[in-house]
Formats: sequence, C-alpha cells, structure tokens
Amino acid sequence: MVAQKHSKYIAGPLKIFTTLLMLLFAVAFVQMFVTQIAFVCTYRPGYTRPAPPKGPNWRIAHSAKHFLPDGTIHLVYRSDYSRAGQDYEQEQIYDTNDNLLWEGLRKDRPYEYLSWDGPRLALTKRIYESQMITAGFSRELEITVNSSEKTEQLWRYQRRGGFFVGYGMKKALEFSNSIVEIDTAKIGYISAAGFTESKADIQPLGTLESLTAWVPPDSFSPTILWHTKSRVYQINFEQKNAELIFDAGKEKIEWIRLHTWECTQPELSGPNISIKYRPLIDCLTEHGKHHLIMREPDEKLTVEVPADWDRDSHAITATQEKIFLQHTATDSRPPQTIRRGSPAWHKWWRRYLSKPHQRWVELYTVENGADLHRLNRFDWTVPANPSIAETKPGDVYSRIKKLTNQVSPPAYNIIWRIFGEQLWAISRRSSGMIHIYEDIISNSTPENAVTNLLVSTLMVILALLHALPRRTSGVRLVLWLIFVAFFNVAGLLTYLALNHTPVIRCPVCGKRRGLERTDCVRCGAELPRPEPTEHDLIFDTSLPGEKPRP
Amino acid sequence: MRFFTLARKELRECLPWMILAVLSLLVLGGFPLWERVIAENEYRYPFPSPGSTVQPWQLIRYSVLAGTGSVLLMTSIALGLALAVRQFWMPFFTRTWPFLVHRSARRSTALWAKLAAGTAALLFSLGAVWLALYLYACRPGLFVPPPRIRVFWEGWFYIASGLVVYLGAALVGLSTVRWYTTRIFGLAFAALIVITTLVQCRLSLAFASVAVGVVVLLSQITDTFVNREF
Repeated sequence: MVAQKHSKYIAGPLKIFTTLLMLLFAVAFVQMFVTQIAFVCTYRPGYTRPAPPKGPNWRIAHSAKHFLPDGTIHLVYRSDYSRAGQDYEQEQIYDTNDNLLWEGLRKDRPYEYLSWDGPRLALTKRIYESQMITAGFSRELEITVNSSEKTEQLWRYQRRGGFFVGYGMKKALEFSNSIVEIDTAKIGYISAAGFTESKADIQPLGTLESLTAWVPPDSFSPTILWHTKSRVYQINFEQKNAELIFDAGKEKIEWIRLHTWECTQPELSGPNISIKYRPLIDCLTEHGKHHLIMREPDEKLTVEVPADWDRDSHAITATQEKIFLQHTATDSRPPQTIRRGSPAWHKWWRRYLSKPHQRWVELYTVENGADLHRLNRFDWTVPANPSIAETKPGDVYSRIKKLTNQVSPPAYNIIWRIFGEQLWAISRRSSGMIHIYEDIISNSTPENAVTNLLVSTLMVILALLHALPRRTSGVRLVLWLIFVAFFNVAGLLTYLALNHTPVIRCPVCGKRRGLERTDCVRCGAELPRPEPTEHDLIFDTSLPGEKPRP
Repeated sequence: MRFFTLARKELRECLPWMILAVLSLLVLGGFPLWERVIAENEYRYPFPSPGSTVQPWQLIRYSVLAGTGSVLLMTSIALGLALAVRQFWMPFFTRTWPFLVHRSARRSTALWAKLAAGTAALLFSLGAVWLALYLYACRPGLFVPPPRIRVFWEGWFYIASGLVVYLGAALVGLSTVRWYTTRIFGLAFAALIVITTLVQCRLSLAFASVAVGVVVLLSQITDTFVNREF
C-alpha cells in the first residue's frame, strides 16, 4: 500500500513528462517528414533563380579588390570557372576608373598583389567533440615525432591536466630468433612550464580555443600553435619545447590569424613571388586591440583600430618594408542586439542585400609604431539583388513548412522569443542533444503566432469535449486544459494517452458519463448495478441505514 | 530470505543469456582487439610531409579499444533486451505471472528480486569481461601509449546503456496499454537516454543522463507493477 501511495505522486508526473517528450519528438518527426516529402515532390533540378541584371556596377561589385604594394587598387573580375583549377581561370583586371588593364589566365597575371592574414578554421568544437563518448569511445589528440623512417615518439594530450605526455615508440617485437628491446617508458611532459621530466613540475596549458598545426620544411613532425583564452603557445615536440608567443594577461583573445607563420606560401601573390613577407600572428583581444607578433626580425606591435570598425572587417600583412592594414566596410550594420551569424542576423543581411547599398575598401599603413595612415580608398555601389531577400511566397515547400509548424507547441514560440539568441549561441558551442533540441525548436517555431494559437485553442476545445463527461475534479480538468493549450497537438495526444476512459450513457439523465467516478458528473446518479440473479453470493450491497436495494 | 530465494530463481533463468553474452563479447569483442595487437606491431603512423599544413582532425585518433567498445555496446543492449523479455514478457506468454505474484511474498519483493537479478546479471557478466579486456589492453608494451582510464569508464556507460534498455523493455512488457498507443514509449525513452548518454563529452553529464533514465523508468515500472492486475 505504501509503495502504491508513493508511486502515484512520483510516477504520475514522470509518466506525463516521458509521454510528452516522446510525443514532442513524434510531432517534430512528422513535421520534418511532411516538409521533406513536400521538398522532394516540388524540387525541380533545372530550376534556377532568375539572374540579376548584369552591368558595370554588377561587375565592379563582384570583382575582387586587390592592392599593389604601392597602394594602387585593382579590380579583378573572374568571368568563368575552370575545372583545371584557379590558375586557369580567365581574369579581367580593371583600374578604379573601370579601364581594362589586362585580360588572360590567372597564372599569367602580370601583377603581384598583397596577400593578407586569414582566419584559421575554428575547430574548438570539433576537438571538443572528440571527447564525445559515441559508440566507439572518445578519441585522443596525439602528435607524433617522426624521423625520416619511423615514428620515434608519441605525445598525447591530457585534457584533464592540460599537458602533453610523451611516450617512446620502441616496442617489444618478438621474432623467431631475435627480440627487439622494449622501451615504451614515458619521455616526459610538455606543458606551460615547457618540457619537464616530472609530473610535479607541470603547469596547465589552459583550455584550447583553436589549434593550428604544420610541419616545418626541415622536419617530419608537426609543430602546433596552441591558442587558449588569453595565451598563444608554439609547441615543437621534436625539440621538446613550448614557447609562449603571446600573453594577453587578463584580456580574452577573440581570434588569432596567421600569415606565412607556418612557412607556407602566401596566397594571391601571383606566379612570381617577389614581395618579402614577414611571418605574422595577429591576435585580436576583446577590447579591439590587434597584437602583432612578427619575425624576421622579431617584433611585437599593438595596433588599435577605430571602435566603429567591425572586428572581422580588416586584415593585416607585414612585408620587409611596411605593415599594411586593409579595411572593408558597408553603409549599414545590423543592430547590436542581433548576434552575428544567428538566424536573425542572416535575415537582416538578406534584406540588406536586396536593396542597393554602398561599400568601400581602404588600405592603411601602420606607421610610427601603431598609427594608421590611409594610402587609398575605393567606393562602389552594390546593385539590389531582390531574389535573395526572402523565399518566394508561392513556394510549395515553404507553404507546407509554415502549415505544419502551426501544430507546434506555442511553448516553442515563447522559448524562442525569450531565449532564441542564447539558445542558438549555446547550441553552436555545444554538441549532441542540445543541438538537436535547438534545431527542432528553431525549425518548428511557427511564424504566425495567431494561427498557432487558434490551432492550440481548437486542441483545447477537443480536449474539453473529451474531458467533460470523464472529469473527476475541476482543478484537474483546468490543469489539463492549460497543458494542452501550451503544447498544442502533442499536449492533446498526451492528455488522450493518459486520460482515456470508456463512457456509458447515464440511465437517469441520458447523457454520457465516464467510469472513473461512481456518480454521474451531471445528475449525480450512481452507476447502475447489475440485476441480481439467484446464483449471486452477495445479496445486499446497501450501506447500514440505507434503504435495501432490490 | 524470500527476496534472495526469488532472486536466485531469476538469476537461474537469466544464466543462459548471461553465458551467451559473455561468450559473444569475448569472441566478437576480443577479435578486434587481437587484430589491433597484430596490426600494432606493423603499424606506422602516417607521416606528414615536410613543409605541409596539418589539419587538426588529422591529429585526433581513435582508441585501440574502439572496435571492442562497439561490440560491448551492442552486446549490452542485446542482453538488456533479452533479460527484459525473459523476465517480464515470457510470463505473459506462458501465463505464469499469477504463480509469482500470489506467492507468500509481497508483490514489490517479487519485482525487486527480478530487477536485482536482471541488473546483477547484466553488470557482472559484461563488467567482468570488459574489465578483463581492458586490463589485457593495458599490459605494458602491448600498446604505446596504453588506453586511458577514461575509456574504461566509458565502457561502463555502454553497460549502463544496456541497463536502461533493460528497464525500458521491462516497462513495455508490464504496460497494460495497447501497442499502437503509448506502450512502446518505454523503449523509445530508453533509446533517447542511450543516445543522450553517448553524445556527452563529460562523464558527469553522461552519468546524469543514465541516472535520470534509470530513475524515470524505475518509478514507472514500480507504479505499473504494483497497480496492475495479473
């Protein structure tokens, strides 16, 4: 009895929770299935959006703007795509007055333009996801030290302590007549303290933000650039050292960009590289300062850009003679409240591109340590591109998607309005189920809240019609109706799954009544009793003081 | 006393499935490990060429026990299903539930004996083999470097996934509702918990996921078993 009593209060709510969760997934699956079927049925492979009208403005807008080391701007327009690769693409080079300077294959281009630092792939999430349990265990970050013939050492990252442990790779190989020596002992540790033989001396490298790896020209072993929240280390496993390249102190590093740091060839330089670049790391910190770390010769510099510049709108490069900064801007920016890359940001951006707008590019040199001196500027007008503004209203797929989203819970709408941006940001950082939940909520959120509420009201009415003859208490009924209103179809199905009882017609008032209660909810009459037969063992079921029943 | 008697009876019934699971894991899970041992002696890590850029994901490597882990997960889920069918579905087919619930023991005692026997069968049989395989892989000189301790704990989450499936299947077996309504939800919920566990990067979150699944399913099994008629 005790178990029965307790289980009612614990298992009841949990049963509602699991049923609702399953039905929310089921509804989301049906919505996705219907919209995908609609997509497959309405997809036309040959269909392309009408191309916007092409003219000089369109060509200028779609030309790459490149700088010569003296500050001259060239507009490079690629008219067609070559399967043979970038070098065989046809190019037209114009000056800023729209005069054609040169035309031909890219590999024959007579100009050498400045090449810029670029972002490295943000792989933090991917490296973090390597820790996911999955069906084949989590994976490990391991760096090998190789000679020209074999792997000599293996360094494994210990996420918990924030350091690398090195192992020798000599192994016990037993052949028919000879035994190779065994030497798999730990070599030591590489951490923020550099190489140490004892674990007691290590200092954590810090949580990884991004990782860049390359193999120096004179080696077979990767060297890595380890970027944490406020520090950048360069770790060379072959030489067993960890060099602190940059320390932002209490400031947070927003991103790092590299240019020829990894000893790789610069892009965009042209067929004959004559510009002598200096290896460069550009660390942008949270207060908008660019910390430049350069080599050949070693130099550190901090450049501050105007506060109204977008943080991703500029790039830096350093040659033996000068340090250049390129800035690209537009005449409008999305509101500060919209997070970059979020759905709202994309929506704003699509609307912006659908109208004509101004853009410009500027070239600066960094002089006297950190002052910016403008060398050149070019402005152009980007023509309107209305076809990318919104999906077409007549699109069957989007119409069906809108229709199916009307059965989504209004709760999604509330959650998305209040937490949408944060949920999106958390989802991008995290993995697995949070990402799936965010995807379901963002894809199923109804665009028209009024229609969604109407559908939800219809579900409440259906629930009410079902509940009226079966109700056992008024409070319970009201709570279930609120529940259905909140979760729409999934709520109604949950209610039906957990509350369905058979009904009979009341012999007194003639209306339907559920069998959960002994008395009729409308007239109060008790449930009819079966006619007594001569074989009945219980003859009289009336209570003391009650009139005996026939 | 009655509990242990009932639990012994349940364990006796689970024994063939335990033996089958142990043998399957030893053979199917041991084979990829053995294969890896052979390959390790000839294995050379891929050499990046001098002056090249290395993509970070090229530095991320699978555990040497990855193949064994997949077999462990599959075996665990299969054993969980088999035990639940044996303990909670078969008595309906053979119509032996009334013999069990009308013994001189409380209904909850019979339920807990079943659950304890099923859980012990799952954890001990697979846990022992997994421990043996892990210790073998950690033998000095077999793999350089040896598998991490985290891999061992992740193996236990695979076994716990089997436990969640066992509870989900038990709930489905005991449920009185129809198949085409919400009866299958017990197993669907268990599947959701298993997926949630496997996509966690932190062991603490994986533990929380399993714990939530076990608590939710156990409470519903208890409620259904105590209140239903046989």
